[in-house]
Amino acid sequence: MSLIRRILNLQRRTKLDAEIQAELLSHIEMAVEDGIGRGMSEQEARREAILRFGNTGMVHESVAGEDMFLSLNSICSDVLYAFRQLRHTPAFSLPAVLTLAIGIGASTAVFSLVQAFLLRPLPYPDASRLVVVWEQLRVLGIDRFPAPVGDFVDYKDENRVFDDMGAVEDAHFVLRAGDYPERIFAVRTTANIFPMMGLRPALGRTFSVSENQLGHEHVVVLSNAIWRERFGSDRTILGKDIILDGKNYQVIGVLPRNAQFSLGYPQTPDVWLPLPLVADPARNTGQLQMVARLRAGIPLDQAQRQMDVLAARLEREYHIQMGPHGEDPGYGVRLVPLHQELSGNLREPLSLMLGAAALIFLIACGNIANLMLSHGVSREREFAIRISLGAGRVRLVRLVVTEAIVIAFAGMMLGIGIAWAASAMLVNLSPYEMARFLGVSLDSKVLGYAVGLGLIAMMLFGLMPGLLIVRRARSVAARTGHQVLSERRSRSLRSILVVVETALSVTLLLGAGMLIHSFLRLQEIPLGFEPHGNLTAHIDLPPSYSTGTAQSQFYERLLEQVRSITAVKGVAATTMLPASDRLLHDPFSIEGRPWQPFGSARVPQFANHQVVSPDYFRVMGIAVRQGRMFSAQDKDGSQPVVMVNETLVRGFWPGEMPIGKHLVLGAPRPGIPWQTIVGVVADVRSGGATAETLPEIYTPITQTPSAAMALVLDTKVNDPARVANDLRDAVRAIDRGIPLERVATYEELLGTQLAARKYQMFLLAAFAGLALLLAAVGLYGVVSYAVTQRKGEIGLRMAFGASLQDVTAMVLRQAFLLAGSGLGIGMVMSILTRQILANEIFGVHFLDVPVYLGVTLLVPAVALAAAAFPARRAASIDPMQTLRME
Amino acid sequence: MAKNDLQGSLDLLVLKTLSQRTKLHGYGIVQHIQRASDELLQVEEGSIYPALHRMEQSGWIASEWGTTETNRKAKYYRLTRLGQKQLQAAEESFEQLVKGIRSILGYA
Repeated sequence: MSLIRRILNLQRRTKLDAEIQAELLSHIEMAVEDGIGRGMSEQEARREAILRFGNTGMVHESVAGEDMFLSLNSICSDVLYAFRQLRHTPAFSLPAVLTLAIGIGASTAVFSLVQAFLLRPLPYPDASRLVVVWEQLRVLGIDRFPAPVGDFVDYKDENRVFDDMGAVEDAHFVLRAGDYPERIFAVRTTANIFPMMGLRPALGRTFSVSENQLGHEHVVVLSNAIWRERFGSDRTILGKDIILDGKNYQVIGVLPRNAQFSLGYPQTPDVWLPLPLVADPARNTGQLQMVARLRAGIPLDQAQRQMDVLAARLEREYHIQMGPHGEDPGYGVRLVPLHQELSGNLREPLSLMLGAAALIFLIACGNIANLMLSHGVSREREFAIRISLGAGRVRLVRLVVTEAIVIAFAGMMLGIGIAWAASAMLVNLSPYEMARFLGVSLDSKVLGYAVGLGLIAMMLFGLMPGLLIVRRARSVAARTGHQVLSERRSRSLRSILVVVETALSVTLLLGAGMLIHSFLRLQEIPLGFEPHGNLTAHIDLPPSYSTGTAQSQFYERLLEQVRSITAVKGVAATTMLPASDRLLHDPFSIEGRPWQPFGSARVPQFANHQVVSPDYFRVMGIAVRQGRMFSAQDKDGSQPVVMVNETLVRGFWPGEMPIGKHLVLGAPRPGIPWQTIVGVVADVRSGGATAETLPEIYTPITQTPSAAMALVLDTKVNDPARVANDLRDAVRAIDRGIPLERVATYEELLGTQLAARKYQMFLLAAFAGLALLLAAVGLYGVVSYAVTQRKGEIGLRMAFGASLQDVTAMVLRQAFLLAGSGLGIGMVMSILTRQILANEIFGVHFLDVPVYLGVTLLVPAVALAAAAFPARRAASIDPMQTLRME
Repeated sequence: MAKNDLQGSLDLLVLKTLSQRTKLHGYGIVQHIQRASDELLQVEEGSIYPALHRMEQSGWIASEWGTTETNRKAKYYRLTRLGQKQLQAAEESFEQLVKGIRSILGYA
């Protein structure tokens, strides 16, 4: 038997039809011949042959049905048939596929991020058991405090819950190799960090335990990147020395290219150095991040409880003096799973995005159901005819099911394509460095998610309307087979769908509007200084500038050098750029008052401490309210002076004259002179626009020198970045060995601070736009379909004297009614769910008038646009033609 | 109504007919059934075709195009090995049916 020929035939329904036709015809012709042979006239013979044969159309239809019965080749032919069918009705299939693709694409893209950041284990052995151990000072609200070496050693030796425990300290060094100095990022680690993170060297070895002892720490493991870029992939580098901060370190190993390590650093480490484990007996300052692997079978909470016991002992022995009057400083330890530590700040924006994408998907499903319904209703007659010709119910259901599957499949494939492009884009645009560290890929789970969505969409919103149609078509066929029935029910179902779609998109629009408005508000908030036209850069002096005098002299010379650049109006140095750099909370004491930085005093005795050059306030445009600024007279050795801000005065000397009062940073201690307040300046939002203003203490660079400073240049040019090269030259003129870092305009710095909000705003706005577009398409579909269905009625109305305006108004009324209902419901939904965005909204009421007003205007405008074309079509109906047709 | 029984007997008749010839077209099968049953079985001739195609899908019969004595193109069917087995089974079950009916009617 010629199976291949049959498959080929089945693949082409037309050819199959022709073959059946030929077979049936040949039967009739043979019967005619026989009849003639029996002496009938040809006419008689033909009539009898046809009579005896029965209804050819019906036979044809059921033969085709048999041939298509569930076998592989018939499914294939069904699919091809469905394809052709869909290609012939692009008005239905194109929006259906596109809508589904957008719904699946958006959801899958977001899910691929969720999978990569929240669900997929980290690329470390037994990653689920890795935890970060932080110290905390609960009374101060500090829950991530790096540990001193002594604490680490005690925890490591005495705990019974960890397999192993390591410590990491991050640092910067100036690497001299070749012509130019480069500041590189280093981590100092205990030797066991390498096996713990599954890091094996590509060349040489990693640290031995003995190298964690002081005096043996001058060895280095290079990252693959720095080995390639700075040392030309030199395979003989092992055993050679490299120079970091002027000291020699022997290269003992090189890590492989794919080595991954992060404890939340903004960049990957360039070099790895051994951490010398030298305990400071006082344990006052800590710099270590502790990482540990839980012993198998020990749950996190149990480990936390056991570590609490240890921490309580350490608190009694070492950390009790932090509360000098016997108060609880709130010392403790906190175990945070490494994965959570790394992805913590991604959790909230991702959930928000996942929710928004789910809404898009729902709206897309609503659209497809809508399309299916109208498509189905318009095919009711076709189905009725097929049924009266003998097509079985199974056959019709298969037809509809196959079509749904084809649409689902096409939408899914396109959706996966969209997801692939979108997830890469989302990662690239993301302000979260972790997103790039963790990386995104469309793995089997993500693809499974896309397929699952496709199936759900088709099952719920594709098949059901289709099956409904078939059932209805049968009942139609049973009657006249002409009049299309049950119009009303399908129409109201479609209207409900469109109202729901609109409501969902309205909630998204409102949310996006709130974020946008809130973002604009944030940018309007006065920071207390003038960032416009300012260029910034950071400098960290190498250890060769070991004394304070050397440091302050360097900066003094540099400031003078920079001031001579023609494009520069003024320049200043500071240890902290407000609203950009990290705040430095320092405790301070006031003469004549008890020293209680950790007490229950009304205002904690903490202030943000900034070391500045005398010109700082002038360059930044910060007003002096009382007293004077620092001057050249405030030298090393002269009377120690400070300046404070108004918030500090309000907190500690309310209604008093602060000038001349004495305070000192840290605890009052012998040999340290009190510092005199010489001036009060206006408040600055040092922690950024969303943070409260803090008490601030400024000290002059001459009296409290610092190796690491930031420069602020007030420039005369529009684009401050153009001064960057002059600034580099100025630094080089003094010392060629000092790298200038993070050169950026102040406005760029502030932009980085807002990047996370901007990202969320951008995403939610994009989702809201998509949602509105889909809802508009749905609305168009319903209104347009209604016009088609009511063509006769509209024609009659016009024949009876309805004007063009009446008809147009009728169509638009329907659109506005649907959109308006959606708008109202959407607003109610958004008010009910306002908690979701509460944390992201700043300075905007949840019933923000401009946003609600904007959406209230936008939605009807979009409805108008969606209904305009159907309305014009309605108005162009020719009443005469309608009358003739009726 | 017992549609399957009727279908089953039509299948049986077709298979039996084809087992007696090498190959035969649809018209010939109908003619043969009618002649052999002394015009007792009057079926709408067209209804043979869905049955033929169904049996072909099941692999009981195979088809190919050929020409009749009067030089007309026609589709010829022949029994396959699977069809022969099916015929045996169908005959046996038909015997059972007939026996059952006979015993009920009291002829046995």
